[in-house]
Amino acid sequence: MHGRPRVTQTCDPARQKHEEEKAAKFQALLRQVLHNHRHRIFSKEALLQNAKLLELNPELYTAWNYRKVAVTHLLESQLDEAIRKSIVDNELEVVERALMRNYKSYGAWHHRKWVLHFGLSNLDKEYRLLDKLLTSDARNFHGWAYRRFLAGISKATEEQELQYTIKKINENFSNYSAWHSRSTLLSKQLQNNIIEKDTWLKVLTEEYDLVQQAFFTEPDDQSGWFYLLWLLSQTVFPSRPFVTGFWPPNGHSNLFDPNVPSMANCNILIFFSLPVCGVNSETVSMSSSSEGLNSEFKVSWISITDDSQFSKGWRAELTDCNKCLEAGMSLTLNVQVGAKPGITSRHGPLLGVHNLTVNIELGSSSCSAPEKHYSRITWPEECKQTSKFEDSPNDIFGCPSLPLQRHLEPLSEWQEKTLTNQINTCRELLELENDSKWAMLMLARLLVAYDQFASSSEHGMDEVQQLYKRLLEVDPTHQYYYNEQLSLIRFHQITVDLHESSEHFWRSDQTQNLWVRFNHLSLSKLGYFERLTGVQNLDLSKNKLQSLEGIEMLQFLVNLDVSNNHLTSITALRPVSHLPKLQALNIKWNEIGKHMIDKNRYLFPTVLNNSAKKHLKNNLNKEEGPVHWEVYEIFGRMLVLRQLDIHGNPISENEAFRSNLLLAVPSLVWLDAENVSTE
Amino acid sequence: MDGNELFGQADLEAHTQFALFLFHGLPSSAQCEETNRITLAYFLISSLDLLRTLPFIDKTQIIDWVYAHQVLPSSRSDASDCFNGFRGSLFSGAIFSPLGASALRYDGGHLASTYSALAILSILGDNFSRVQKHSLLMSMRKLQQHDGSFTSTHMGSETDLRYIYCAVAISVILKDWNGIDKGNAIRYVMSCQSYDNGFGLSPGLESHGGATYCAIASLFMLGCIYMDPLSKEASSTLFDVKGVIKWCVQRQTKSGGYQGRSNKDPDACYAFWVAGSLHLLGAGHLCNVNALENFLGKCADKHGGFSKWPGETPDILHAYYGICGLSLLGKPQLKCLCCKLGISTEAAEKLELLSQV
Repeated sequence: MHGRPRVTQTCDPARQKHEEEKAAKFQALLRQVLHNHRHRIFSKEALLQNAKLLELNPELYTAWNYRKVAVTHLLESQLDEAIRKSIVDNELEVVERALMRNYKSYGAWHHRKWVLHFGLSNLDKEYRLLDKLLTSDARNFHGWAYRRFLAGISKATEEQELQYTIKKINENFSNYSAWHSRSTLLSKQLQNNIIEKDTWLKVLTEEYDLVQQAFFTEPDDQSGWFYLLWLLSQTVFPSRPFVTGFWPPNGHSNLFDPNVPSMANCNILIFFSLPVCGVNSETVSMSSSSEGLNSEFKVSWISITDDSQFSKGWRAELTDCNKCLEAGMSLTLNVQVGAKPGITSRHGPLLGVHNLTVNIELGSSSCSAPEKHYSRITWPEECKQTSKFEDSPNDIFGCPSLPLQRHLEPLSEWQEKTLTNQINTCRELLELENDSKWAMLMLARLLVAYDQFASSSEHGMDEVQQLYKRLLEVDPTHQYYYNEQLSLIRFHQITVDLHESSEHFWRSDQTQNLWVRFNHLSLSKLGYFERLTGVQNLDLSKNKLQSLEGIEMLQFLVNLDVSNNHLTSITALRPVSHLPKLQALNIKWNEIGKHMIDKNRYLFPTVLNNSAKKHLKNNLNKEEGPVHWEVYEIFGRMLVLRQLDIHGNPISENEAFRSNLLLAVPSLVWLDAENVSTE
Repeated sequence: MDGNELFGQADLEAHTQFALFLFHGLPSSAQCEETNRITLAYFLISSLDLLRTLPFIDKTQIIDWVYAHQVLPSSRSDASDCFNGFRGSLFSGAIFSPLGASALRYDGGHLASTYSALAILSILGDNFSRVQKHSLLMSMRKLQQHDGSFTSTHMGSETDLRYIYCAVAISVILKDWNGIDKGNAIRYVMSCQSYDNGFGLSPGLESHGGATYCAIASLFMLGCIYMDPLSKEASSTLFDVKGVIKWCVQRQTKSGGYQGRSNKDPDACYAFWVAGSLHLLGAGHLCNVNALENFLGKCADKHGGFSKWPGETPDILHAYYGICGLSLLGKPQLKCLCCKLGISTEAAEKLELLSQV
């Protein structure tokens, strides 16, 4: 029923009668076929009736299955090769007629494959028929799937099939199906060692030439560009993960406060260049210099994101340290990462071995200060006076800056040459075709990839920025994506030398808090959080953020201002709920409650905490309005939150929401301007 | 946007009328879909639910009708391999009983019909008390092949990602994973990923919007995608989530509609398959909603329903996925869609709380 031209239908009694007769005939035929099926009647007539039915409706899988039973039965009792062959040929004809009715019928294609398994059919004929189909409909995916199937049973070599893809590509460079098929064939050759690693480079070079012809011929067509992306992924591989930093830095101390929840307590953090798994007390060894103390405290490694397996940041939560420590005493821990195998990313195991010495001391932290002593903080925007802060950035970051490590494996000569070639090709193409969207997008991606490996970066980024700005003009459909890329580049430029410049450091004169401020910058996506580790007060207000993805890396945040952004739901605050020390959060003037959101991404499988589940259960059947179980899910995890500014969101007007909020966050003292502490 | 909306109250009423009209009788053009009758019913009932007009139909009657499609276990020897799920329709001659009927010879459940039946029951708030869960799941397990894929019936069929999705969704709805070898299913899904990061229907096939949805939704429900729901892009141990997002983003065409494969014309139903996948991956904001709304506006018929392409005759499938598209656009008149299960979030939340059946 797809894509048929529209016919206006009028009510014609003669026609209606005809339709009714047709339906009755169909019903009679169906009953007959099912009867034959039930009583295992496989006569010539029965098979004809079945064929007739399938011609009318190829979707009747029961009718196809009847044919399978019948054919198996007929072949079993037949030894004459010629008759056996004619039985099978007859099946192919039935399928052909069904395909003429609906060439997308899965059941019909499946039957055809089943029939060929008897090995009684002429495969050359099948290839010819298929070629006809793929000539009239070059993208038919049943056809391409059938081609793969035929190649399998006729033991066609990959080389033969590659020749076919070239034929189809030469007929039409836009045949995405042919390009796709080519990539799978080449990958298979490489996997099965038909192409040796050395020859592979030669093959790739030829493929680069081929695809270049394609996009110089049809620069607006995406087929070649996707193929080029695949070639690049075969040329430059993701590097192995490495440690980018520790907290506290080597040789420094950390406080253990027995009165603080373990997630906010004395912790050791390890950051990696890529998400890794396998961080645990076996792969990270911890030994104490003081004999006999080892067994007293407990260590558990927690991923600082929701992803319990792969994360860029891991936190060791130490408990029971007070059992082996007295005030004024300190415990020295030697931490070793990478000596034992087990820590790996999706692309390979960790590079290098790292040693770290940390001192643990008993003390009390600000998180354990009684709630009633908490006084409402003033956000930078509200401060009458703020001033640039130009002293040591160490005060901003709470301790000496983390040495950021950057040791990617350098590119080989061939890789370097290939990347440069492709960059130049895109530039050439853009000189001919100024508005080629795909050439711009590819060039931007190539430059970003190249920048990662270049020893001195930066100059390429201005060009990337220009490219994305042009893309916004020529391809507004994907504006949100391009804006995110622009925002990332902007954020990269702002943060790359953060420790050297004081442009974004402010001191609020009232509270003396030191803030890092990235406000009013039109940011829609953030990144590079490893450069901000240690920041305690962060202002991201007046941007265009819809997501706070990655902010959980800033484990030392105490005050966070994300007011005047585009956050659309409480669930968007999920990364914030992983900040163990967060005391004040400003989400004023966002769009929370304005839109419908599928919150069920939490469910199936459930990741809800018990209080959220309980709330959902209690309210689902009573309430007519939305059920605010996500309040428990998100805010319920913020154990030391004292101040929440939420005014200016549609949801903040909702009484049920506010009362649930107070139940979910017992530590809350200030909700907007109101003191809500129970004491 | 407010005030001169493309989809106002009158349009939504037309879509309701369209679904109700078809609910009471199908046109002759739907005759090839006889075996999928229950799936058509799912499209219509879920449409009415999303449009908040479910009260117009008789729930008890439909629940009985759905159960009549259940293939009950039979002691007959030739029924030992039979899939005790739900049939697509009563075309094979099973008697009508509000409990279900045991299998006739060469009769049996179909995975897609079973998913549709359970989805309807979830939407209507049934508690699955009449579902023969044990035999359903035990016989479903026999449909799983060595490579992890599923056939749709015990009599054999093609195998692809569609049936993995059905088997996974069935397990989620019934809250029991005994009918599926999860590890094997996951391996099969991953073997369907193509070089451009999208997923094909079976290993080695070209990336396809519908297949990509089946893969992403299945991997989510199989617990392979970890995420901060909605707050950030998902992450997975198995594949490059950002790559899939990039593939999906580029499926939105100049006209605002989504195409199912590269270089194909946009089609209304991919508003669900592709934009829905983006939503699942936490990248719903990368969909250009105004452009998509424009495209859907062109596919909407003034008498209700949506067609595949602008100017064509509307059909049930595209009408349903058009409505799903409207829900994903955040139209407040509609209920919110649970992208993973293909039912409203309200129905899904109830499902979550249903005590073990």
